[in-house]
Amino acid sequence: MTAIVIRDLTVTFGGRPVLCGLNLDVAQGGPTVLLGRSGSGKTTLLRAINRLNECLPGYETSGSVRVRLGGEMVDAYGADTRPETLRTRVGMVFQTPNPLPAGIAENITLPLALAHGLPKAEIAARVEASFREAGLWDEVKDRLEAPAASLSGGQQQRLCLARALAARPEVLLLDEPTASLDYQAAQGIEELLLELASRYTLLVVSHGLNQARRLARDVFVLREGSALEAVDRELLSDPEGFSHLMDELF
Amino acid sequence: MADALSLNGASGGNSSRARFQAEAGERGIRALLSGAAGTSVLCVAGILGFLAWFSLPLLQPGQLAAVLSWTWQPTSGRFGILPMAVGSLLLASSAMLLAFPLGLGLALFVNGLGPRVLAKHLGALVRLMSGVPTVVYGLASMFLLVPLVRASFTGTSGFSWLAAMLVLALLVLPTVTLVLDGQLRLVAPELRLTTAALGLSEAQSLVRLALPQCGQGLKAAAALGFGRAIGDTLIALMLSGNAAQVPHSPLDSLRALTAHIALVLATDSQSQAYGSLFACGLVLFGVSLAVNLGLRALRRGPRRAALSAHSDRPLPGLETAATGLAWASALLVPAALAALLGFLLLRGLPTVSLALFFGDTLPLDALLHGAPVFDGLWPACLGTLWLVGLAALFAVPVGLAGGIHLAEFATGRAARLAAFCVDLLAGVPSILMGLFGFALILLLRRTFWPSANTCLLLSALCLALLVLPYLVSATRAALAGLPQELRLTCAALGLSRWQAVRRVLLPAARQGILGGVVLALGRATEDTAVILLTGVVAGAGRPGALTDKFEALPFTIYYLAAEHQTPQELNLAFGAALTLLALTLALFALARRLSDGAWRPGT
Amino acid sequence: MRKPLLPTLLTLVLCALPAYAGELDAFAGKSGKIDIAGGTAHIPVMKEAAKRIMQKAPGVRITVAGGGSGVGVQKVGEGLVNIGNTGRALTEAEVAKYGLKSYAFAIDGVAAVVNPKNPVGALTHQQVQDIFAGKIANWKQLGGRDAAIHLYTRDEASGTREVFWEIMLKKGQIAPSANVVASNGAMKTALAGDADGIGYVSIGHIDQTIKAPALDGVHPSQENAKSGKYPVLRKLYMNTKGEPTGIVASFISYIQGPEGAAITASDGYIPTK
Repeated sequence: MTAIVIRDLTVTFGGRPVLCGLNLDVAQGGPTVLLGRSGSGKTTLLRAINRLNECLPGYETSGSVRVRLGGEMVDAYGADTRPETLRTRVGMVFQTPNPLPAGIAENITLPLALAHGLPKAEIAARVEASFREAGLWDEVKDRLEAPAASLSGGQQQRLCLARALAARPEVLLLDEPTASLDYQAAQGIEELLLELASRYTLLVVSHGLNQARRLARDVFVLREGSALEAVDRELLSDPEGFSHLMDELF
Repeated sequence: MADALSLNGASGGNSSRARFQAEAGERGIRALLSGAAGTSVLCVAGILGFLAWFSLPLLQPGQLAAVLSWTWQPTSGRFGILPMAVGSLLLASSAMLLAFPLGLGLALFVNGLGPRVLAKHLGALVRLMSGVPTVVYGLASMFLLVPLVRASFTGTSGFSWLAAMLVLALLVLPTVTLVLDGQLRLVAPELRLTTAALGLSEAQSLVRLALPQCGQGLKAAAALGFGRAIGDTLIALMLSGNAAQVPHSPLDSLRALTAHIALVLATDSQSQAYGSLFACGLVLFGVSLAVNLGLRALRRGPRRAALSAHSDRPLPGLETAATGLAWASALLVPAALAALLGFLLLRGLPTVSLALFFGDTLPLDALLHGAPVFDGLWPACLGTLWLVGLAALFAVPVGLAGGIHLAEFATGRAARLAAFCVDLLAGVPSILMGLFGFALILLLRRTFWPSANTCLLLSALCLALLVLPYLVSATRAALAGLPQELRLTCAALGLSRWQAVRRVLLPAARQGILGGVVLALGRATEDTAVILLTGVVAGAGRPGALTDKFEALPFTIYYLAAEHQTPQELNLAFGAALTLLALTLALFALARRLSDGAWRPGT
Repeated sequence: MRKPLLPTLLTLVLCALPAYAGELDAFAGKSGKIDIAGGTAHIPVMKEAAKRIMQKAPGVRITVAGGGSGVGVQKVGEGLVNIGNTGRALTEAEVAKYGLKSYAFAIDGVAAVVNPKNPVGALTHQQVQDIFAGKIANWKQLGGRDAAIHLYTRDEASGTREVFWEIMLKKGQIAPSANVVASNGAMKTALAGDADGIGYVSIGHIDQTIKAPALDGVHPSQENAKSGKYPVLRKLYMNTKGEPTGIVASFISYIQGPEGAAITASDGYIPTK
């Protein structure tokens, strides 16, 4: 079943086109990996799905984006879809860890209280659950009040993941989630993502073919914002096809 | 270059002498610069010294109690300044109670709670408000707000705590808003994408996360605004009624310490009344000092890294309240400003003509042949130009040099002291500068210069002292804003520190510095309190010698507003106000243009 | 003893000559400056005189500042100005301390004034005292409309205030809640705008923008002041430190002379003879 359907998506910033007439079908689960050169518009594509582009100036868009939420295909840009509601159901993890300037537990509880309006009991339950899911519980359970900034890079990224998971989204958008992490931390996150793919739909922008090879079930290559090409996963394992793709892309 | 690099210096007496000379030159320049920075210390010491010296008579037994009492009635020998101290405190605090929420609302509006298009224009409006001279606010309010207060409430003449408080709030509003806006600009955009991705609205992001991060900024805005409010002279003088009593209600008349100094300076210089003036000065100086120390403590204090456990009690409705405040401010403040300035235009535009400037004299006669002009603004315009020009002549070199020293060369305790004194000077109420100038003349007369008098030269000097801190701070900030790599590059190329400063850093920072210069000029143009005490008069004609009395636009406005004999003279005041407003707004806009052009590598 | 006739006649003629020569001629070709400060009642006369002199003799610069009688004494005593104006006689202490010389040039009255819209047209001495002491607080007690009385008074440097307080108020109290304004002109401005206000100004300053109620049946006018019927009077003085010389002396004789007297009279004061 498809989780995300994008048709004819065009995005311009200040008149400058970034994405032109894109079409994409993302299947449930995954992880689906998005590859492309820097500047090809991968982040913009991701942000088009949870309408985060609207927070940036000079933005214009046309086309349609539909996401399967609660069993139904919801038009992300529909008149009766509030961006805030959409974003509570489509989670996002950024390239650089971005904890809120608050305590560790507060990073989870604040959005749940403010954006979801959940009752205190429910929030408390989700805190431990999301930390466990992100594999962070043992490391933070004794210092939930400490500032989030006191965590290491890898821990912070897991915190951001936990925060996204706490919202119980159906779709997770991850923008180069291991780009700013060291090898060990990156490995840990990748293992986590593979495990989460069984429960959530994951769309991951990746910076390296190697990561794509390790993570992906489906691979798409974005060329200069206008062409999205599905790449056969087997091609990634084949050394010749792999180096051909490498030359092409990088 | 090769000579400078030679290690043993034995390549000839010429080169080592040249090098010695270069080094001596560099040392000389550095000495000059540190001397310039030292003037700020001298000034603070001078002002404090004068205040203390002239307040000495108060230390006699019983005198201090006499001054710290509640009745001011010189005819019966009572010189208590407490009513004025309370008056100043009440006025400044109440003005801040109004200005702080409104300023916060405006800052929130501009940073996300309001539609982007409106936000931009509102931001520009607030910045422009800083360029409106105090005396212009005073004039417009005297003839618009005071009658309004008188008509709306019973038992008040309109000249009251309320009227002064409202206009004072408007005056300090830009300070509060700009400090808060600066902080929010740093914090809010960073957070926005994160919080948006989590599903928080812009209001939630701003109010719950960005604003609490700005705790220091909030306190700084409050302190700076309060300092500005308590140091103001004109608004209190023109609008508060000046009754030497503690007011029982906002509709009563009160007198501020600053207005008191301006009103009472004219007494026997040996008397207790005179001594009490310096006691007022000490109190004001003490308040500035306290505000300054408070701000320093803020800057050094720990940054608020994490929120306390807010999510236990999410305080529903906070966003609605904040949005309400933002919109209320966005509506009230421009409306108030429009009312005052619109009134000014209404009364002033019809007067704009050659006759406004030249009276009955022919313009060409006045311009070319120096024919005296009566009932025209031309002498005052000339006086202002001369005054500001002279003040700039004194202040710009010293201020720039001091700023360069503090930014590039200063280390250690002397530097910290100088920087502290510059900040302190910036907060000293302008009336104290005037008092200092006046006391200086009295001292000179009694010692080595018996014919010294209040005059254009004295006013220019005191104005120079007034704007010195602006120049030092602007230069310092402009230089500090340059990336450190630039200095490293220069050093790696073998340039000496001074060469680097002169050839590379100063040109790169010139726009910021120029912006500061123009801002200082604007401040000098609009000042009334300093010149009030140091030589401005209402009928002096064209400025003659530097040792003559002179006219100036701000004083002409104040004088005509308070004492016009005919309706024509009042119209002259409105015309003068428009002229002064145009001048300061032009200077201000120029300053903005100049300092907006940030330096980029390669330009 | 028989006084020699010819020298006496000659002296008389010589003394009379300046009175016939135009006083402005004394300034012709001269240059220099005269700084004047002090009483605000004097300002209209001073300004007009300054204007005429400066038009005749462009080398002469005359500046006129206000500040009140206290400023006048202080500034001329300290030598900061050449002429200090006062609206009251100098005290012995002031004369002794600074060595000042006084030159009266006008008689002026000080009257309680109200806004023209105020129906109250007559007041008694006692009523004025009670009003300024704060004992009478509402106009309706005096036959006016039902509104609180807004008091205006001058600052302590003011000679006008001194005279009003001594003669009119018999050194009685002025309520501390009274608004303080810094000059006669400012008092006029304030009262012209406040329908419920009461203050006091020099009679020479009274015009159609303010109204002076009769005091004990006597209308505060310069004629009544001259004849002595209106009691609250003072002289306007110019004061110098020591004997005036040069153009300062010329200025003083100008003001005290016929042309100066004409200016004084046209500005609403009574020239002294």
